[in-house]
Amino acid sequence: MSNTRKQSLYEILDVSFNASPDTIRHAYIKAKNAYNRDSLAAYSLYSAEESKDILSEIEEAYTILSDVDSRKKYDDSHGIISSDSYNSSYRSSSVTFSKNEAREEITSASTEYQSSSTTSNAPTATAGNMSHIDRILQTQESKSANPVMKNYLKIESQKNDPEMEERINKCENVSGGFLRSVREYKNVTLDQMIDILKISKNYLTALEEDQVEKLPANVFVRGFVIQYARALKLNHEKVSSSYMEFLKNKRPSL
Amino acid sequence: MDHNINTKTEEETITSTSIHQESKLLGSNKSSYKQILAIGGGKGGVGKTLVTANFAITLARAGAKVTLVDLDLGGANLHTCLGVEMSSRTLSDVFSSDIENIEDLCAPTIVPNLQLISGAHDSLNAANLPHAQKQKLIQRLQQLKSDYVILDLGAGTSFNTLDFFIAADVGILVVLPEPTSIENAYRFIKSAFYRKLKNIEHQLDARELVDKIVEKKEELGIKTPADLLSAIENESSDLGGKVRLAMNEMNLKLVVNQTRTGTDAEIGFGVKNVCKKYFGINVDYLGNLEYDSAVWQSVRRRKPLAVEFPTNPLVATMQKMVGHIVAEQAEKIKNEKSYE
Ligand SMILES: Nc1ncnc2c1ncn2[C@@H]1O[C@H](COP(=O)(O)OP(=O)(O)O)[C@@H](O)[C@H]1O
Ligand SMILES: [Mg+2]
Repeated sequence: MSNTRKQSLYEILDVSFNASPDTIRHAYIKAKNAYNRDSLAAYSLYSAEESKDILSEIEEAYTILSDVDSRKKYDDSHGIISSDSYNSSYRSSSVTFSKNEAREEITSASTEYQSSSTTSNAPTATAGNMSHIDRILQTQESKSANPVMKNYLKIESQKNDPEMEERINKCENVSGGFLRSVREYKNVTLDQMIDILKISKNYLTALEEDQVEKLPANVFVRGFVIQYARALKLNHEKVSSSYMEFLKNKRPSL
Repeated sequence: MDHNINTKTEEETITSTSIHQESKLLGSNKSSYKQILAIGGGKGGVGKTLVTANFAITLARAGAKVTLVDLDLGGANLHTCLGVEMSSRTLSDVFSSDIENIEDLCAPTIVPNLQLISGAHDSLNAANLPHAQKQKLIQRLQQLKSDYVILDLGAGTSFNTLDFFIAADVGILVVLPEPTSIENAYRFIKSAFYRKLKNIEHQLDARELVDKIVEKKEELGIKTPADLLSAIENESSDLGGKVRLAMNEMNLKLVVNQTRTGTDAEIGFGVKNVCKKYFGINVDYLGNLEYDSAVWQSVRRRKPLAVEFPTNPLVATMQKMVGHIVAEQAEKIKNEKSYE
C-alpha cells in the first residue's frame, strides 16, 4: 500500500460521515467479504498478504466506528458531529450522501416496476422527447421521496446575479470565502448548513472564514467541502479539487 | 496480476493531435438528453447480448427511440433475435461515399422504436479499424437521431473496443461469478483506465506531470492505479481532481449474470469495493441476474427474453437496472439545467 493519501475510517468502509450504525455494519460485512481469502473479487489484484493488511484496516475502522463512544471520540477529534447526537426526528430523515446507499435502495426495492411490456400499442418516439424518462422514473419516485432530500432539493438560487451564476458555474479559485458567498446567495443559513453537514460550527466557521490553521487534516476537510458543495448543488468534484489546491497553498505542511 | 504502472503503449504511434481531437470529440458538447451505453468487458458467453437487447427493449417500450449497434463483429447475433433480415448494408458502409446519412444503415426490428445497425458478416475488422475510421464511426453514432444508442461491444480489449467504451456515457460490464470472468473484467478496466488516462493527459496537458510521477513510482510507493491518482493529486490537487473526475466519467456499471446463490450475487459488492481501492474509481453495482433456463429457451427460439417471456423475473430486474441508469441521467440533466 502506498502512503500517498491517508484514508479516514469512513473512507476505508466507503460510508459517509453520517452513516447509520446499520449502514456501517453492512458496509463492514461487504468490505470483509471482498477481501476474504476465498473471495473472487480480490485475489487477482492483491496478494494474500496485502489482503490481510487491508482486512486488518477494515477491522480497525469497524472497531472504532461500531462503538458509540469511540466513534464519538473519533468524530469529535475530527470535527464531525457524532451521529448519536442528532435528535431522533432528524436521524430518521437524515440525508444520505453516499451513492452506495442510494444504489442499494434501488436494487432491493420491492416496488414492482410498472412495465409497459403488456401494452400492445407502444408510444411512438421521436428523439428529444423526454416522456420516456418520466415514464421510467415515475415508478422509482416513491423511493427518493425522503423528506429531508426534498428539503435539500429546495435549496435553489434566485438566479438574479449573472456574475455570481458565472462564478458558480466555473467553480474556479474556490476558497472558504467563496463557499460562504454561494451559501448566502442561495439563502442557506449557517445553522441550516450545520444541520445538513453534521459538522461542528467551529470547523464550519473556520472553513468559511479561511482560518485554515483551525481546520482538521486534509482528508476530512476534503470530505466536508464535498458535502458542502453537494448541499449547495455545486459540482462537488470541481469545488473540492479547486479548494484543496487553495488549502495546500495556504497550509503547505499538512 | 502484475502491479504494472505503465502509461506508454503501442498506441504511442498515434499523433498527439489526433488523440486530442478525439477526446474533444468524445467528451463534451453533447447534452445528457442523449445517452450512449456501451456493454462490454467480458469474454464471449457472459451475457452481454442478453443485457444489450433487453435494456434496449425496456427503453424502447418506455417510449424512447433506441438504436442498437452490434459491434460484436465476430459473433454478431442481435439481428437474429430482433427479427432483422440480413441486410445488404453493414457497418462498413459508414465509410463508403454513397451513404450520406447513418440513419440509412438502421433496420427496423420487431420491437417498435428500436432499430438496429448490424455488424454481422461485415468485412470491417473492429480490432484493426484505422484510427481515422474509428473516429468517423464514433462521430456518426453520436449523430444518430435517437434518445439512446446502445453498443454491444463483444469480447476483447483492443484499443478500438476500449475507445468505443470510453466514448460512451455509461460503460456496462457484464461478468459471471467465476474467477476467469472477474479477472477479465479487471483486465478490461485496467486497459480502459490507462487508455482514458492517455486521452486526458493530452486534454489537460498533464503528460509531463504524469510521466514524472510514473518515473518515480517505486520511490513514491505507487503500486496501483489508485495510488497513481493519489500521487497526481498530491502534486496538483487541481489537476488530480480533474483526472479523477474524468476517470469517473467512464461511469462504470457492473452486472453479475448467471448467479445461482446469494454468495454469487454478493460478488458484485466485492468487485465494487476492490475497484474503488485498486483503481480509485467508482463502479456502480447494478445488481445480479439469476441463472434462468428461460434465457436459453428464448435464445433457442431466436427471440429476446423480454419479447418471449415478458413476465420473467429477469426482465423486471433488468427494468430496474435501466431505471437506475435513467434516474442518474435525469439527475445529470437537472444539474446541467441549474448550471445554465
Ligand atoms: N441469466 C442467464 N441464465 C441462463 N443462461 C444464460 C443467462 N445469461 C446468458 N445465458 C446463456 O449464455 C449464452 C450467452 O449469452 P450472450 O448474451 O449471448 O453472451 P455474450 O453476448 O456475452 O457472448 C446465451 O445463449 C444463454 O444461453
Ligand atoms: Mg454477444
